[in-house]
Amino acid sequence: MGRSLTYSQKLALGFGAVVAVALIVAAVAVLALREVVTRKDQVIDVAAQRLVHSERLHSDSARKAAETRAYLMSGDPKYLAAVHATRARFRANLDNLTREVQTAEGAALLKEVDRIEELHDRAVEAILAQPVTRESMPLLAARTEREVRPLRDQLDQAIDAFVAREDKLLQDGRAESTEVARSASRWVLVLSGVGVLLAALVAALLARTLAKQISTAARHVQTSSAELQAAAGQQATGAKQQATAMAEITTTITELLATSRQIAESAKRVAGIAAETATAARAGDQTLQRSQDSVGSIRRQVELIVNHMLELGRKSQQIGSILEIIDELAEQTNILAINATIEAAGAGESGKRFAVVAEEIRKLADRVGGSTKDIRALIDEVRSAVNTTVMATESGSKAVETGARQFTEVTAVFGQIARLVSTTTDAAREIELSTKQQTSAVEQVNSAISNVAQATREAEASSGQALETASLLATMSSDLARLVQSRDAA
Amino acid sequence: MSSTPSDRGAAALREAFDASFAAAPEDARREQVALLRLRAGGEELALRVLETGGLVALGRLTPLPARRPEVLGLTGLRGGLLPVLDLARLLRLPGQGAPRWMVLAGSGEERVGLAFDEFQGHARVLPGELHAAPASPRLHLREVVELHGRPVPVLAIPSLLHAVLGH
Repeated sequence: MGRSLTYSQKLALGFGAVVAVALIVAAVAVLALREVVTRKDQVIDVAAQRLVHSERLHSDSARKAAETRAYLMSGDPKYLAAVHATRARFRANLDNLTREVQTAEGAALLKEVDRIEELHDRAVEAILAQPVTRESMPLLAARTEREVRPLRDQLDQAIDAFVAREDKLLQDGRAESTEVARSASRWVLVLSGVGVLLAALVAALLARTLAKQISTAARHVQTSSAELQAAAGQQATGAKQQATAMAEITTTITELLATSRQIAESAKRVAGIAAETATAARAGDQTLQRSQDSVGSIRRQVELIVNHMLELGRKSQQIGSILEIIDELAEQTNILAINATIEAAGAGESGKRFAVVAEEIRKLADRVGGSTKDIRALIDEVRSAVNTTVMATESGSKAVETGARQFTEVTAVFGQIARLVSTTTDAAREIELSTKQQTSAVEQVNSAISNVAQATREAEASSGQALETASLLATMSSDLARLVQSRDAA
Repeated sequence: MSSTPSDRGAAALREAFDASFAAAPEDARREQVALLRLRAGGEELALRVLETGGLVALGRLTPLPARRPEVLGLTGLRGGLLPVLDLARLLRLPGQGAPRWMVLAGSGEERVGLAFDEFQGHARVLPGELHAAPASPRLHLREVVELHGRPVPVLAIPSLLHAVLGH
């Protein structure tokens, strides 16, 4: 933990300990002073006041005796009143003392004073109750001397005993407070000594620790400055190499600039060609659109032809059916004609003319039959031709559909080509623009590289300065290490 | 508009038909022999029209139990019953066919129908075109005529009828 503290923290900690000891010394001194003051105040306020009150008992007792004597000598009632007033003050003073006194011995002494004062007052009152005349005055004086004096002497003795005790108490309190003050002085002295020792210890510890750490840090600085020296040397070498590389980069960037300008020119030409291609692609797209419409019309016409051909086939089939009926009729006519010939032959000579007619009918029927055969052959040819035509037309229709589909695909492809060409045009323009920007950027880079080359040369110079500074630092750290080590040795 | 072959055929037909009314009857034509061409038992035959009583399509045939295998059954013709015989079996021809036609032979109570497979048409030949059949002639086929370039045996109906009726 001690190792993790900084120099300022350690210094603050040491001074803090010393200040704490000083504060403790000050606090002890203040407390002792306060105790001494309290004791002195008690001595002054209580014991001295009580001594004064005790002395007042003496004075009141003497005054009461004087006022009694004046009354007995003059008979003036004002002295009597003065006697009573004096006695009232005595009693009040005695009561105060009785309340203030705290020890049993003091209370007993005051009780004795009280008892003797009561006896004294009764003796005085008994004399004062007598009428004072000129004649009785010597008697009363004599009686006073005889009865009151001893009591008054006793009272004075009792008061003196109390005063002596109070005086002793006062002396004791003074001695006690003096002792407290002396004790506080001793404590302050002891604590001051402890503080001085602690400060010396802290100073010694701090000096030792800081010297050790500074010595270590100085050694570190020495090592680091050696490393820094080596690094500065390497940096100087690197800066030279960097300057050479910068020169090569500048050459390369110049070549790159020329190439970028050529690319920009090429991109411009590509953009022009792409724009022409886009125009041609749009024209081709329109032509394809028209061709697609024509192909659609051809497809509809072919479908119409197929329908007509199929209808023709159905009609041919119907003709065939009718032809079968005609053939059947011709055959039956033929048979009837044969039978008519037979019947005519049976009719003899009169039937011969009928036989001729029957023969003509038979021949007609024969020719009809032959014609029906020709017609059937023709119809078969027609149906075959229709079938062939339908098949050819259907295959043509399929070819047309395929063509239309391919036309659609070709149209879509053409559209895609047009879009791609448009995209290519845009891309070529973007390339042109980007290349121009790139050329501008390369020019800026060229300028920046020139600046960097300048900076590299400056860095080369400053690395030399850094090398000198590192050497100086190494020397300084060696001096510091020596200084600290010599102080440690001392 | 040019005339088609069909139009030309119709015109020729019309012309021939009109000419038949204009021309006088030919004697040679009267001497010609009218023949029927037919196929029975897989063989082509001819017979004289005037030896028959008529040519009819074979109608509904009711089988008739008989000892003679050539008897096919009875059929109705113009309100009467007519026995029908198989011409191929009568001539002992090898092929088996399905008779669809018949010629009438004989008269009165002895009239029969001779059934055959196919009626092929009518032909007229000069009497000189009928030749005697070569040696070992077949039964009732004693003459031969050349029709469409092929020799066709000519059936003698009276001979056949005579054999059938046992006269």
